Amino acid sequence: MRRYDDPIDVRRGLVAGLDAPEQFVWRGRLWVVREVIAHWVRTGAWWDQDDARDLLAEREVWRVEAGRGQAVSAGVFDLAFDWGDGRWLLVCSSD
Amino acid sequence: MDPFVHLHVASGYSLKYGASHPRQLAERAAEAEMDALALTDRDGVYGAVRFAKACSANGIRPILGVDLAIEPSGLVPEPSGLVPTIRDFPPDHPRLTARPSGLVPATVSARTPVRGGQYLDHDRAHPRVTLLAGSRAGWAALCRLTSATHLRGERSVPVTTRGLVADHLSGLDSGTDLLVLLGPSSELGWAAALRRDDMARAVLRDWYDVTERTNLVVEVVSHRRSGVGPGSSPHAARMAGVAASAGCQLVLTNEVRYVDRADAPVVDVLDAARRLVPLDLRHVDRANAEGFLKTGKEMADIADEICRFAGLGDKEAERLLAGTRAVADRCALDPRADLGIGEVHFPELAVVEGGAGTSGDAVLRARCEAGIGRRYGSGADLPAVRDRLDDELTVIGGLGYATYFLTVADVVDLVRDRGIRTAARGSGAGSLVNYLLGVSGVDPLRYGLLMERFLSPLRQALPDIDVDVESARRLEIYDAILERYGGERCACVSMMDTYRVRHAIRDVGAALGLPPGEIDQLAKAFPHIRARDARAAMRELPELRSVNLGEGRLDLLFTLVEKLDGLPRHIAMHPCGVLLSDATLLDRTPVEASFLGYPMSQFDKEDVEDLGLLKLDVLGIRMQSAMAHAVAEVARVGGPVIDLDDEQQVPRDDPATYALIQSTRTLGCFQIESPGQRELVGKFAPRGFEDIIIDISLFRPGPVKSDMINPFLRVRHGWSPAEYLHPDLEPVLEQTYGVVVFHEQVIEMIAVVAGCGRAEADEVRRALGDREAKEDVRTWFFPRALAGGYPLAVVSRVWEVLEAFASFGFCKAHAAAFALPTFQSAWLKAHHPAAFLAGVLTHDPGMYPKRLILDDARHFGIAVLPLDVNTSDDVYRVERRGGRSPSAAGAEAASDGIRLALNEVKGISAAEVARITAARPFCSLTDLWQRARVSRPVAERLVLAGALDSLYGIGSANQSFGSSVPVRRRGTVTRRDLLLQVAELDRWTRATDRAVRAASPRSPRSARSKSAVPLSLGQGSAAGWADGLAGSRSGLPTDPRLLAAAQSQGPLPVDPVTAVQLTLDLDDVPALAEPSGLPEMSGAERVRAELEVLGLDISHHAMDCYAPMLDELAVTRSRDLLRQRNQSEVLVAGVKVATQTPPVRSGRRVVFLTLDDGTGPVDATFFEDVQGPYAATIFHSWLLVVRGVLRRTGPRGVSMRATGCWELPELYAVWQSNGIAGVRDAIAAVPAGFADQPAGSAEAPPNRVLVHPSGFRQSPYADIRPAGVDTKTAPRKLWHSSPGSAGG
Repeated sequence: MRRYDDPIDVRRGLVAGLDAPEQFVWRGRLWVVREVIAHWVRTGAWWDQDDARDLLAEREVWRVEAGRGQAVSAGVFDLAFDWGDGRWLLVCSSD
Repeated sequence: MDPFVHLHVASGYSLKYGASHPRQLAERAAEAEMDALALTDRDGVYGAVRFAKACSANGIRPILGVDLAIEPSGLVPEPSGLVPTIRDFPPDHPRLTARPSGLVPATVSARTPVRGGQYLDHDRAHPRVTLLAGSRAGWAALCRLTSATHLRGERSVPVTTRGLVADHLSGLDSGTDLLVLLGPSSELGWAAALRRDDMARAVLRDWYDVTERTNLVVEVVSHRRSGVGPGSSPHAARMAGVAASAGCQLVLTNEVRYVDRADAPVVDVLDAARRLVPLDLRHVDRANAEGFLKTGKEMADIADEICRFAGLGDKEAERLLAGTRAVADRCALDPRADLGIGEVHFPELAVVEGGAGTSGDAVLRARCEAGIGRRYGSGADLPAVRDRLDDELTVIGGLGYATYFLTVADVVDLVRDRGIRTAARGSGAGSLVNYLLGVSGVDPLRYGLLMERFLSPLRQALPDIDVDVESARRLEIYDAILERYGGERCACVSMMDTYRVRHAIRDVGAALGLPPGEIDQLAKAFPHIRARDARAAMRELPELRSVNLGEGRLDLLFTLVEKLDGLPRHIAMHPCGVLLSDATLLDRTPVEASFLGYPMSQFDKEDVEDLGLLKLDVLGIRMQSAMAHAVAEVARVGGPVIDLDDEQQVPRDDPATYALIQSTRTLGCFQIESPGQRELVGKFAPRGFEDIIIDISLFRPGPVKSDMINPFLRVRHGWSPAEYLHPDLEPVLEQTYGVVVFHEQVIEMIAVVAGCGRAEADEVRRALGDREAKEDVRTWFFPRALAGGYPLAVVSRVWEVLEAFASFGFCKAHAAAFALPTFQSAWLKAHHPAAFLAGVLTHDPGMYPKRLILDDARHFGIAVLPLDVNTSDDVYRVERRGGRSPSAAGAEAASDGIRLALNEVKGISAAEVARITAARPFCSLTDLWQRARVSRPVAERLVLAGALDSLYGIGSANQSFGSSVPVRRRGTVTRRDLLLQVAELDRWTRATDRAVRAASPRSPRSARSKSAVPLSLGQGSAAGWADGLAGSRSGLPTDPRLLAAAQSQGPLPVDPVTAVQLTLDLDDVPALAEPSGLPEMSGAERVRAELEVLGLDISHHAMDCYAPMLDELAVTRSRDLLRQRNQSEVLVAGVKVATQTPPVRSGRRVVFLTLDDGTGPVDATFFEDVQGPYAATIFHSWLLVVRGVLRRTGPRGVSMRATGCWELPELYAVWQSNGIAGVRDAIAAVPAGFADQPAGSAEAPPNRVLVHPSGFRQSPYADIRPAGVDTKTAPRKLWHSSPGSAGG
């Protein structure tokens, strides 16, 4: 398990009937999602911040199995969407 | 339409758990086009009635349930690591510090240390179960189950059992009357979290033993949490799988705690506040903001996701949603048919009348007729009485309310039989029936009171009869009523305390971990306003300008404070509401035990009115207790036995009483003691009982603001003639010289001009208070009045008057009911001032601190006698001195004294007082120490307050303040010597105790801990509890009254001291050694000690030590104010005794300040333009110097328009260092920060103004308790913290 904090571009679509990230571009390479393994949402410790701007700071995480094209090499990635600033990040991968 | 229905929703009525009001939930559901919504609050149905009403208003069918904790069955191990709190945070979030991922064993042990040095262990995870009522019978079972759950075990920690649920299910006919929902936090959910399907099936089997198949429903929830614990999709999927394999019904819910995603942080604050801990990931329940009232579309997505994880197809998601819908349709209730909203239930006639009566109407008539002879004798006025009685009985009979009146009369009889004073309050005094039944003490015929204002055939609402009783004996009355009607028919009304600004600041501040001192200061800086107005108040109120809102942390704080606005935070017994109903009461309201162990409905005042439950207001009035005390004191010292309600003994035209009222020396009297009222009675000079009624009605916001008083007074004093709009109205308005004062006059005016009945006229009067209804009334009124032959000009003029005064007038019956205790208290003060003031001091009924009442006593020539262990009682006593006969009032006053009460000593316990009064006389301090066994601090305080002076011949502090060391004979004992001896005695006692403990093999402590913990019983209920035990064969009582009493957390009553040790001369007790030669306490030191120990200044006035400076500064004393020129500038000084912010005409905030300088009260008014620099000083300081311009308001009245205000100790410090010139400079300087804005400039932003339907404008801060601490509970130290030291 390796940890990252990389901005990625994501295209959403249906993955096995579920509205989820379908493809993403990470470090210039396109990955295609084959399966959604888990999906969760979490909030941070908003009380540690000093103002009342965004108290929710929600982050939606998709744990997906994705591969490049038809290649066998597939990996499991955690793709996170920050509701606060609308950015996608790749936060975790396990090969 | 959105077909989804939320079946598991917590509102704010789940105390400190839900974040939204039921109304908001219903509104949001309506916006989402849902047609039904459930409310399943935790531990009770507190919000059910409000919710049902909100649903009706929004066209939604309500579903009602309750979410209860339940004793675990033991089939599933307690989930130490699986409590659904945030513990499983993988480090995928930038804000989270590194934490191991996955499920971690709980770091929170069963006992968590919390705020206040306590441990919290009942937040331990009990499994929970949700019950939904499916019918009227189901609702009744739900109410009874909730009561039974609360009344078992510990108060306010309700935990139900499977047995209780089974009992309440078994009585139901249909399998769908009451549904049991097992959700993620049930044992089924625990089993799923452990991934133990075998255990899950065992749990289901266990439930099927006691329920029908149709009763049991499995509830799945996904909040899209990570992991596999409750709230995650995999967990929901597992539960769905188990339910499917067992063939159990399945529903999808969202365990809603807030309406909107954005409100999610509020539940974190509530979690922290409930658990008394600061916010931390370990302490909050939620992991994300998914638990809001989602739309059907969003819920369908969840259903999809769950079914996908469960490996089920698309069809299953649809079936899940359809199953949810089916349960919702089965449970939707009808507010009228199922909840009984709008029904009326009186106690059974047989219970009220002891089984004698035939019909309620006949019994009522008989009792009223019996009352005629008692009230009127065989006077000539009888036809009028009989006509009125027939009218009233017809209306009461038509409405079917006879039993209601009989019940009230029965309760009043219960009170009187115990020798407790009682009086009616409110519009009920307008009814002859109430007068004849003895409920009310004013004759409605004699004072022209109308029944229609109280009870009308056109209004279905239950009339309100309020009964005032002695406050000190209120609980005794509750016991009597409960005993008479039993816990099945009787319960107290509850009161939901909601978040206002101060509580919200305290809870949010603590959650955010701010220092407690800072939180306290911030909270006290605010007046008692609503939490959502916090920031508006900071912009508008000058005393809050110093709070630095710019700081980010405070911004966060106030954002949350405003979000807490209006959320329920605490349930308590209502101070006066008692519910009386028939034996089905507990089918319609659950009860729980109050703090003192009284059964208390989960519904509040408004709710029970909607439910049609008979609510009687039995209000404890301190003045009634004070008067009872006064009457008892008069008899005790050998005076006459007075019956205040007997007009022979206490004639209502007694000249001495009106002379007292006219003299404005009315401190302590009911209703007429406030500065404003004293000014008014001075100008008005009431001459009879009718005048008191008018006076009370005039002194209301409406008349004061709309300037009704001056025209009234002009005519009264003969300065201008009375004017009537039309000769027909003269009889109506004659009594008030043409000015409309009473609601009754408005009713009669409408009746006369529009030519309608009074009942209809009262409906019209009520409609006038409503902006929209007013227009309808206008179109009704004009044609009718014109048709009656009144010219248009007159009709328009009458309409104008009605429009202006309808919402202001005061109910004359209400005023008359108030006038009675007002007159009685004034009569007592006029004839028995010492006894009256002893009553006032003991029961503290008024607005002023006791030290001002003591001052008043001195002005009446009554000696204030110091505390003395050999004569002081628990309460204030009258002492007859000189033995002169109490013939004339003056003579009595001159010969009487008031002895201070032991109860005033700080920290003294009721048991200590009882031992002192039982064991005396004492011959020495040692004697007191040994036989009264008072604690060391109390003994020291008794010495300091001079309670032992008489034993040792310590002289009274008559020496002047100036001499610091009084002259003292050699060898005499001083208070300081006695203090030393207290220390000596304490040491000796400890040493002997140690020796005794060492000698005995078993220490008393361990012996005590081995004995069984006694049940604490509600006050006065111990006997009943024993009876109940004996009565029920099963061993446990079933009467909710006894069950609730067993849960009381109030203090145990003090046992009466019967056996007292005699004085023993033990030689080893340290006797008083040679006087140490320490100097006696100086006068100033004595005053300081008195203030600290008693909160009262006895030997000298607190202002006396400042006298030298005040004299040099040429400060005017209260008694000299009348001699000052009009419009002259004066300085006054004194102890703050009251601050008020009454509503005034301009809609601005005005602060009225009352000071006491030892020669009398001084009243000053601060208008908005001078509040800026001085508001904080006014509200937060106790000793003040005020500068102002004098205005004469009448022959005896002056008022002061203040132009500045300073803290006296600060000025005193300046005077000591820089002399009088320094003080003058300090007063002349405009305070820093305000120097650039000259007073009166309109630089400040325009403040908000509330506008009433009648057009009247009011400041939002009017009539709200202002910032700072209540003047009656002045901190004992602050008053007089050593005038010698700088900074005060």
